[in-house]
Amino acid sequence: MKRFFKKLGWFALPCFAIVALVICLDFFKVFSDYEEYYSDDLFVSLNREYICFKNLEKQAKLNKPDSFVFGSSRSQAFKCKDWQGYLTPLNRSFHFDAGNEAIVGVLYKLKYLDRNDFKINNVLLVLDVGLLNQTSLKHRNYSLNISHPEISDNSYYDFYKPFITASLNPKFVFSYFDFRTFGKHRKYMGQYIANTKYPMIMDESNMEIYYGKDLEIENDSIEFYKRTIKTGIFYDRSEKQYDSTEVNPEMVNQFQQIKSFFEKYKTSYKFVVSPMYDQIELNKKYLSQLIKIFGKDNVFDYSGENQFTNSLGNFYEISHYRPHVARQILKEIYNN
Amino acid sequence: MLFNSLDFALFLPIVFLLYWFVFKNKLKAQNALIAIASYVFYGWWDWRFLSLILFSTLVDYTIGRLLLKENDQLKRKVFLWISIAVNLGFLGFFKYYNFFLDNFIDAFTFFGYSIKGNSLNIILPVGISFYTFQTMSYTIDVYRKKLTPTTDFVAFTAFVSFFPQLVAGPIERATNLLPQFYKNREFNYSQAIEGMRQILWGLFKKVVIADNCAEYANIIFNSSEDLSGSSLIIGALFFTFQIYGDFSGYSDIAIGTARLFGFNLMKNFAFPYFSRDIAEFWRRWHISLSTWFRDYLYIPLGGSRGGLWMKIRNTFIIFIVSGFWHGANWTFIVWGALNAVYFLPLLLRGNNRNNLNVVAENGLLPSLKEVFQVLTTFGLTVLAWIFFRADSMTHALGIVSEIFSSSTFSIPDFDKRHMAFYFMPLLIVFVLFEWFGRREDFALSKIENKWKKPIRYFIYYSILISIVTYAGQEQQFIYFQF
Repeated sequence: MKRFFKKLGWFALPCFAIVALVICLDFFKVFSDYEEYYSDDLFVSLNREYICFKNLEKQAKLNKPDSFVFGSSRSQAFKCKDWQGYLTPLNRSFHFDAGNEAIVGVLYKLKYLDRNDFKINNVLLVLDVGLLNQTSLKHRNYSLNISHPEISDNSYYDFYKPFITASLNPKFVFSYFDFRTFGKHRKYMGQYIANTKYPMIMDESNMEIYYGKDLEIENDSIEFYKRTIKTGIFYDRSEKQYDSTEVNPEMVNQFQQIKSFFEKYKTSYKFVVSPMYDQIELNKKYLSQLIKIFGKDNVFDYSGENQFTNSLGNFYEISHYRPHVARQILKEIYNN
Repeated sequence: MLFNSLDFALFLPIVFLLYWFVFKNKLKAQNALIAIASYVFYGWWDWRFLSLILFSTLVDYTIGRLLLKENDQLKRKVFLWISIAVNLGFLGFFKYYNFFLDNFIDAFTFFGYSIKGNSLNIILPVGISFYTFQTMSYTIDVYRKKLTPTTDFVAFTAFVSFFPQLVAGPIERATNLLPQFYKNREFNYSQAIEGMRQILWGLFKKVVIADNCAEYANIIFNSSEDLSGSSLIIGALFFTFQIYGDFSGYSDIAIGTARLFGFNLMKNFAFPYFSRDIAEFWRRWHISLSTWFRDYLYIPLGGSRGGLWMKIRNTFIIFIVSGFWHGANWTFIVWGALNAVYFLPLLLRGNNRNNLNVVAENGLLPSLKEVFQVLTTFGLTVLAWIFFRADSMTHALGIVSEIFSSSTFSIPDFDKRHMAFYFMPLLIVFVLFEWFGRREDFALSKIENKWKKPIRYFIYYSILISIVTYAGQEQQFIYFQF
């Protein structure tokens, strides 16, 4: 037995050393706390929800937010600065989103805020057709989107596991050190390393994100869209697609729990279904269920074919729309 | 719990340490630990279905005891049928209820009668086909007086639920596995090292080979209507390696894990894609199931002893039942029937036991004749896998008809085609490893006799790195669904 363990130990030693090293290097900034997460020299993608959560913890001690924008990365088009115009000056807004956010993720966040004595005076909930049918966070079990145990029902082990796995990916590690040493993005690095001369700007006090792409479009919109179209991202939409999202009791239950939080905090809320390039319209039955629970004055469906989804200029690519669209939506939903 | 998960990576050392340190030399306690660990392992997926395993265990244990005391042949038969009815009843309800109901309704509709029946939303308990067959083998062997029924309930519970092979085999015989629970187990260094090596190779097959092949096979099968015959052939080839890597990988991990605890499980795969005819293929593929059907179905039906029609009937029965065992879909039945069609000529001409040795047994490379035989068998197998993988018969026939059209001579074109071609060298390396290891239990077996230490460690770490590289998402093992 001793011999077996000795052999195993020697064999595993390099592996343990590597794991210890990646924890120390902390590529994704999850093993330690940081003053600033989105530093200027950052070139890897971080887990957005985790950074939101860490910054919310900080803000709770400084200037406790009471108004929240929830949603997926598409919700980042909505700026707290713009939304603040529709709130009272005393309200403090915070963007508490997550990659691939689902309705259950929003529910978890409300529970977290409730547990931690946040007031929930205003909510702007921005979700997409494709993610409205997710009643668990299983689709978010990878490093970029995995939810922290303080927010979800994931264990710490569930949470750290994908970061360790991702940090051990040789292609990522090689790309990381190559870029760190030479500062040059090479083709093989792909999505692992951010490749843009227009980096994003982050306001960590409210998790407001400003994409560098806006600056790029501002500088030369024709070149930007010409290049994007050339990649084939903006596919032909002539064939109409339909949403298969069905209402199920679990979803209804989750919506009702969300509603009960809104009632508890007398929250003023708006529910926006994002305009998407695919122009898939939200299932009517689903929409009427949302309206039945949240009220027709609070639910705004911008899915399907409309003024926002028709123009390419409203999108960076097929998944994310631009802030001017969000500003227009805010205007419509609050002035109605 | 999946073998290719970090959950299992924590679970296994904990059980191992408790087994060899806390409960060392305490046979009963070791068996109890295995039983508890197995229930935790299974309950990790869905604890509600533990009651099924427990019930099956209780029924077969009790019937075993009753069979021991009973000499009246009729009563013994009744006891046996109760066990079979309970086990097949579970299997029938969870796995086949909706299939039979839907086909029953379709049949009536075909004859102009409209009847109503509601399909149930039934969750198929993981591994139900495996553990029900294992417990049935116990009762049948006791009934046949090949095995003395156990009086040790803990050992029997551990035998039925033994976690390394609980959810996807090998389907163990009570005559092989159960006696191992009665004997004191000593830690054996060489066996443990061989076990670790087999686990490593099994993980490589699953995480690197099967999961990557799955990605491309899924792309191609899911968009088969838009693809050419050449692309569909590549899809079928990817699925061929996917299913082998997936299932034999699971078996390797199971056998390797069992070795760590001092158990020897039966061999389940013996390099089936190097077979020279279909009969040899079936002696090398999912051996534990093939031999189960042989011993408990084919031989009782008369085997190949009867006349021509008896041989044909029995061959079709065993292959069709085997297909149906895999899933409640006509595609599996056709897959089984197709294999029967492949097998029959060999059986009828008495050539089904021609190739009992390993291909190129004494040499490095096969002869031209062997190359031709292996490629022909492989081609037939690939064709049959199309039915196994397809969603429906229409889907399968669509793929087959496209493959036998002129589009097979076009350049393959499918989503992620370039990625798929980049992956192929790794697939070739895998096949070479399998070829050089074909005389052993698994490709890396007894590697210490073949390679020097630095080369061995280079191989181990390369495998480890490739496993870590490809271990993005934990994928279910295909055979869990069966």
